[in-house]
Amino acid sequence: MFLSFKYNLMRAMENNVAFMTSVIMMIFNNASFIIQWITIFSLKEVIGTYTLNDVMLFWALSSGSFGITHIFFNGITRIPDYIEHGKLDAYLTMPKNVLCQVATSSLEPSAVGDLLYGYIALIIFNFSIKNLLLYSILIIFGGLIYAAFMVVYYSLTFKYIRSNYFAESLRDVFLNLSLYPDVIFSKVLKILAFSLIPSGFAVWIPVYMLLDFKLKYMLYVILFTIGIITLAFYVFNKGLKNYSSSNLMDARS
Amino acid sequence: MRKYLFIIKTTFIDSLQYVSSLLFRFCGFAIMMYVLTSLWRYIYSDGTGVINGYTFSKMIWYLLLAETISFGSGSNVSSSEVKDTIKSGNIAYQINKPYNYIGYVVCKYMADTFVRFMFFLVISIGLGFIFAGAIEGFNYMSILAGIPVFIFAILIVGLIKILISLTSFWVEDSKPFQHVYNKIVLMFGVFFPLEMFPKLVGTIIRYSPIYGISYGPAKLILDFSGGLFRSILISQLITMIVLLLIIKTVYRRGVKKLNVNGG
Repeated sequence: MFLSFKYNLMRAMENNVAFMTSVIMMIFNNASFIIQWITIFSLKEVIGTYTLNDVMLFWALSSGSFGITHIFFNGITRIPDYIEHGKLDAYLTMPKNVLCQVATSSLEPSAVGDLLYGYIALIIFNFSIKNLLLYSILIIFGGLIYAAFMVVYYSLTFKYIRSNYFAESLRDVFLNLSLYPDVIFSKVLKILAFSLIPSGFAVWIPVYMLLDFKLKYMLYVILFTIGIITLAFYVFNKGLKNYSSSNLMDARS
Repeated sequence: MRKYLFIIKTTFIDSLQYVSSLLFRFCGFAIMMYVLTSLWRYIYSDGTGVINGYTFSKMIWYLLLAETISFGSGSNVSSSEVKDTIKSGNIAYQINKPYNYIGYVVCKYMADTFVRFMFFLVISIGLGFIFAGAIEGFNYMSILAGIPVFIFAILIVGLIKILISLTSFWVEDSKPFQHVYNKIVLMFGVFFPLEMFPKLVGTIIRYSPIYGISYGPAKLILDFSGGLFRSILISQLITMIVLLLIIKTVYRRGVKKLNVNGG
């Protein structure tokens, strides 16, 4: 995995200017939403029990988790394309796990900006050594949950062609739920956030932990992460049995 | 003039072929609107009836109308297409055609945008009734007045994006500048009406293009008045004239600088 990451990063940094521009623009993009929240908090002092600093934790954790996923496992976003166009052939012949190879096959340069922004937001709004360490652990779990969630839904392409549009819509819901405080959503959406679209485990519970650490929250996150990763491997491997090669002549880049 | 009408006609027919792909963008639009509606519903839930002149219903309709312009004018013609044409050197084939390249892009953009805009307008009206009910005190005159105002708003967005894309004559990639522009409009024009900002920021927005492309058109539908209609039209006309002059200058300088290797 780390070798793939190294080569992906080297490839992404081939054009230094383009890489740095993507990173800086993503930081700017995420930071612009601070204006949205400053304006909202000028209209209302607290959202539920959350202050501006607390809301920025949702942003820090979402950006950090999103960054981790798209830096290390960006290949997951290509699963539908690989399935539809028979590009999985190149991975099937390798003596390694197919899903691991596919997941680590690419890196999104702008995700480095997401990860950096996560740390910047944490340092500006909620800095403490304890928070920094806990945050670094939590975004790994968040990233793994988000990655596994995408694998589960993108694997539907094995069964239903073009189902990636459906998966992408669910991904939008996942991201939108992660970026906003839980208190604004209805009960139905909260149930969804702790089941079919698990933003609750990836971001909301980690926010509770950064505000008030409880061991049971950590256990929930660890158990859910193990569960969803197992599910992701199961669904992908089951789907792989339906995969038919296209005899596509292609070389891995 | 006939050649430009022909460009509009062919692009319009071409755009109709891709209506189905817009359906998938609808999901992203609806999700975003649902989340923002939830946020505003929560803000208004403590019994606050009116915030800076906006009831919950008016706030949601403002968001929807401003988002409609933003999503509806998201055609690639004025952004990536112009940028790619310059970057790839294909601009060399465009400047010796019997039409003005900028005129060609504007016509193509307007035709392509018409289909997208109408699609998002219908969706927005539907979502508006679901999320916020009918617009309070709606004046039917605003529909008539809204037609030129929305057309000009879309045209101005296109001109701004073309201007940003023309920077590709000098910089390697103009895409980051498009992102910056999109974010500024989103934060200061779409998410909040100018009344929600401190006075100084509100005044800056009032005299910036955001007034004509976001705040003005949405506000006109919500609170129609002859005075508001006139002030938006004046702002839009001034913005268009200034933009056209800048585009003309930048384009002329860019073309002079152009150096394409034949092959």
